Amino acid sequence: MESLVSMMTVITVVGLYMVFVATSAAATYTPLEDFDTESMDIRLGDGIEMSDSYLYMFLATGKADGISVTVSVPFFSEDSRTVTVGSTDGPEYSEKYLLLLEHSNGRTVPAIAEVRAYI
Amino acid sequence: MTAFVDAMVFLAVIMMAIAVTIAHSPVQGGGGADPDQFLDALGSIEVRMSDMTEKDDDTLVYLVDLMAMSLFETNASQDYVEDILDTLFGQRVYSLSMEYGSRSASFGTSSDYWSVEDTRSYAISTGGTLNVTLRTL
Repeated sequence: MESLVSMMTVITVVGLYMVFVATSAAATYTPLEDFDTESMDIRLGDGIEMSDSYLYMFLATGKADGISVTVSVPFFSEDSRTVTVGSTDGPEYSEKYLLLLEHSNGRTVPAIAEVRAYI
Repeated sequence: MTAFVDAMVFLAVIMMAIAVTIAHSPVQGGGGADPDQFLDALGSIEVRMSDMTEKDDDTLVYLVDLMAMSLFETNASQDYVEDILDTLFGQRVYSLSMEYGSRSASFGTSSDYWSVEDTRSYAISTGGTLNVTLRTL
């Protein structure tokens, strides 16, 4: 009887530990870990300009099925700019990145890029 | 009795494994923006004087100079910083305080439960140092 109770206790604890490890891994996973905003070549000209080539390359790594990037420049640009590549169905992971961009007449202003990856 | 002792030893080992797993868990969020990154960038932001004040002066100035100036004479630099922080961290989910000489100001949410805090000191072109502390959840 004693060994049966001990075995049940051990099985329960091992089960709980495995659930804990699995949920921890899911909670810390992000497909955007290696995302490089510098490679997007974001610039301020007449409006907000950016290249989508890097987004296609990022999708080619298989880390996401789709990706959407919205860039806004508080105070200096009323409109934000969004570029979406691939499928936007499925679970979404998002991150915000702060970038410093050259603006007109020598200004250096911050832009915020919100990147959403769909897996 | 032996099985019970074995089970207890096993439980102790599992507890240690859980502690190690928690200690070595990667930080969620990867390369996203944080107070450290914002404060690094803050010192490099340059705007025209006329962007933030009503003066007809197109001199290029660091934003931190205008933030220090705003403690004596109202200008738009605090609103501008609030705009950036609202976009970056969500509306009011942060607290920024700044101190220049005997003057100080703060904006954002007042709370005692911030998870991240960072402070920077910026040399002001007219002399002195502006200390800025940013706290986020």
